[in-house]
Order: sequence, then structure tokens, then C-alpha cells
Amino acid sequence: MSKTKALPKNLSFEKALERLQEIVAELENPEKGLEESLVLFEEGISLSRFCRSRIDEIQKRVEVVLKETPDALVTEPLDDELDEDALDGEERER
Amino acid sequence: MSGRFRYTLRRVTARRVSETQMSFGDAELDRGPDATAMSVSQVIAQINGLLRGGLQNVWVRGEVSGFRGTAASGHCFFSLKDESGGATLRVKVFASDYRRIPFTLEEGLLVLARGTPDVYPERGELSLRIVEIQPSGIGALQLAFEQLKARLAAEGLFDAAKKRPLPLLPRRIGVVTSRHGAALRDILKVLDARFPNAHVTLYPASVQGASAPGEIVRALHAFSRVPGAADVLIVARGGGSKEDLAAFNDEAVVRAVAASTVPVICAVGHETDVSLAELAADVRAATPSQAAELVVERLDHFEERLERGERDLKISVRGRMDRAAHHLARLASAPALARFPATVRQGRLESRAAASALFSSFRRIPSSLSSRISRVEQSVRAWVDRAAFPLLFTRVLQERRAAADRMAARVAAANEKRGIAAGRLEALSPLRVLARGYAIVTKEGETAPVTDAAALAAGDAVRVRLARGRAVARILSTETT
Repeated sequence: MSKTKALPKNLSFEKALERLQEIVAELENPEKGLEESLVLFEEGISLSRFCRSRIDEIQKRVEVVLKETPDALVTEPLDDELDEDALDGEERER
Repeated sequence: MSGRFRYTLRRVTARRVSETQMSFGDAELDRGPDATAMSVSQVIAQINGLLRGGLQNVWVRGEVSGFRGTAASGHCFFSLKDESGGATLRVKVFASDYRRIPFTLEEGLLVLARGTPDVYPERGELSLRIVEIQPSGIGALQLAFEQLKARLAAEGLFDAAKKRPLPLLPRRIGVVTSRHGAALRDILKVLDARFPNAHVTLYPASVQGASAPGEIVRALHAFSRVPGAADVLIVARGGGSKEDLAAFNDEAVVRAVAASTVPVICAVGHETDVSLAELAADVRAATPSQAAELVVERLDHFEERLERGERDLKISVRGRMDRAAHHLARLASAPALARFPATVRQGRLESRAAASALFSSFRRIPSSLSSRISRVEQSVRAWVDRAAFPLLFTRVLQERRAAADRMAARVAAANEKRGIAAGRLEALSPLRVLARGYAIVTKEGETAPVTDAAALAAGDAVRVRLARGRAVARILSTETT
């Protein structure tokens, strides 16, 4: 029913969230026309989806750098359990 | 000058000696001071011996004066002055001792210097050879810290304008700290509670001891160098004694923090002592746990924010639609609009009839125009179906009329063109030539027009065709030119 504006290509998470809040504020203005409101609404929904997808993209990982190559850091998963041995080691170090 | 002086002195001494010899006549005595006098170098050696005996490793307090840095040899010469200005003592610091001074000597600095005074034989000049020097009032390390801080501040490394905002949603969090330290454990614990999906890359580095500065710098450079390795960094260590913070006051570390291409949060775990690395960082955190709190918002807060945003959007738009529907209902129930649907229906029929009449009256309508007409018609229908406003309907009709007017103008223009073409064709017609007073002559019984008088003879009968009608004539005479 209305033209949905495509989101900018290199939109940042910050910008998206900021714009979403802007839209929510704009929609509170009773002067906005119905048609314009619908366009804003659709933009807001797609911004919200964009933000969610960016959050979902992040996958839990805890890794430790083993060595460096010219264009990358070589890592392996960090033994998640910082167990008592590790702590003892730290105490000894001091 | 001094050579001549010395020579004169020697001559005077020689004369006195001879006078003495003459008056006393005692050979032993006669030889007197000449036998016992010391050479200058002997005197100086003896003075230096006395100084060593009485003033070895003496501490002297004074203001640095006439300081001009080191000479080419690496040694350093300047003076110490009493604060009152009443006394001056030349001092020298040999290169090997000078290098061990942790802070920078500067003019006017009140220092405590330890050393032994001696006389330099070549010049007969007294100076204090300093082996250790420290600032008076504060510790050498403290002074070194203050001096480095002032120097880096002057370079703008701590400028507020240089501070970058942290990313709201870091995709990769780089951590520079000891692999087995409390700092890492605290950071991971807090992150796990706030944003369980966080992607953390640890670059292990000692945070205390002699190797710490190098390791921290290396880790910072790695995250800056490898694109996408992290989009925010936490450089942290847990609490410790003040000396343990040395790595975070190391010039190379401070510079690496300031030069990082990725925003840096620095958490050294000291409320009272702010390290220079923290001053150079984009954000300072009191503890590693706080750094983890600053690095990313709670996941549930993100979700809450997005949900609230969507809910607000929906509420706003639903409210807007409800108001519009209410408005429409009010308009539709107005007495003046009681007949409105019928009017609209009739108007639509009329406009349809008009449009199809318009359509059929031209063989070809440019596609742009026809789609426009159908769009107009669709909107008429759409608005009718939704009990549209009369005003909008009027606008639609106006638009249709304007489209029809434009079409009519186009057709008129086409017609005019066609008229001009017809006019040209007419101008070429033989009838048109005849109309200007010319005639076509053919011999009796022939169809080809006569174009040469030689083809005719007196007495020939010819047919003459005029613009209107024709005649038969006879030739009286011919003339060939």
C-alpha cells in the first residue's frame, strides 16, 4: 500500500537504533499524515528487524590469540573454566 | 697568561731564596721551600685526597642551573645553586650515571645529588661528580611520571576531543590482559551475565613486570593492525601495588593506547592513582568488571528497547488509523453527504464513459497517458470503495479533465501537422498549377500534353484543359523559338 524505503547499505547498528527512536518520536506528532505515518511505520519495523538481525549475528565465542599472521590473529577457544589451578597460578605470580 | 704569571712567581721565589741563603748561610735551611714545595698536580692530588676523605658521597641539595643537556661525549655538566642564590657548585654527571636518571633534568629543578667533589687538575676547577640524583620533595618515579604526563598532555594524547564513542553493539571484543588474571575472570563473568553471546578475543599479555610494556604494546598493535579483529578493546589488570601499575605508565604503552584504531577502555583497578594509559584511553573504567559493563549494553535491554520501539510504532499507527476512520465516519454521516455515494457512482460512470469515449476517439493513445487514465480510474474506484472524500473525488475528476485536455491538445497538434502535410501535397497537384492560370494542351486524339510548338501546325485542332472545364481550339500559326 505504500512504498517502503530500502535501508541504507552500510547502515550501522547505532544509526538504525537512533533512527528507530526518531521515527517513534515523529509518529507521536499528530500533524503527520496517515500516508506518511504508514511509510514511517514500515521503515521503523524494518529498522527494528535490522537491529535484531545484527544482535542475532553475534555468536558466543571466547578465544585466545595464539599467534599473528600478516592479516589475521590465529586463535583457539579459551578453556572456559578459569579453574582453581589458574587462580592459584595467579596468586603465585604475585 | 697564567703561564707568564707562574714564571714571574717562580722568579720572585728564586730571589727570596737567594737572599735567605746569603743572610743565613745554612746549606740545609738555605735550600728551604724549594726542597719541600709540591708540584701543582701534587697539591691537587692531595686536595682530592682530602675531599675524598671528608666529603665522599655527600648529599647536596641545590637548584639545577646552567643546564644544557649532555655534551657530545654523553657526559653532562651544569651547576647546583643554593635556593638563596648565594653559592654555586659546578657538577658533572658521567654518561653511564646520567643514563640511570629516571626523570628528565631541567633548569631550576630542586634536586638532591650524591657525589664526591674533586678538582680537575687541568683547569684547577672544583666540581662535584654526581653518581645519583633525585628530585627534592617528591620521588624520582613520581617526578618522571609527572614529566611524562606533562609531555604527553602537551602532545594532545589525553585530549577530550580525541575520545571516540564506543560501539553500541560490539561484534568482537578484544581483551588485553593476563591469561590467568582476576581481570579476565571478572570481565568474562560480567559479560556472561550481560550479553551471553559476546564474542571475546583475548590477546594474553603480562600486566606487570619488565616484559609487560612490550607485551601490551604488541597486543594493542595487533588489534589495530588486523582489520575486524575487534571493534572495541579492554586493556585491564586487577588491583596491585603502585609499582605494579608501572606498565600502564610506560610511554610506549600510553602511546599505543592513544594510537589504537579501535576504541579502548582501560581498567587498571585503582581508584586513587590514574595511570597515563587510562588518560589516553577513550574510556576509563574503575575496574575490569566495570569495563565489561561499559563495553556492551545488557542484551535484555537491547531487546526491551526494540520491543518498546515496535510497540510504540504500532500504537501510534493504530491510533492514527482509528482517528482517520472516525473522521471518515463523521464525514459520511453528515446530512450533506447523504446522497454522496450515488453522486460518486454516477460520477464514476460518467467519468468512465468519458474516458472510454476519449479512448475510442483516438486510434493510439501514448502508453504513458493510457496508464495514467487507468490509474486515475482505479483511484476513483478505490476512493469510492472506501467512501472517499468528495474533495478528493473532485481532484480526481480535475486530474482526468486535465489529462483529457492534454490529450486534446496533442490531437489538435497532430491535426495541424496533418493539415500542413495535406497543403503541401495539394501544392504539387496539376490542378493547383492550372488554378494559377496555366493550361494543358493536347492534340486531338492524343493524351500527352504538347510541350513544343514544333509539334503543331496551323489548322491543327487541340484540346485545352483549364482549371475548370475544357475547350477545343484550332491553331492559327506556330512560332518555334
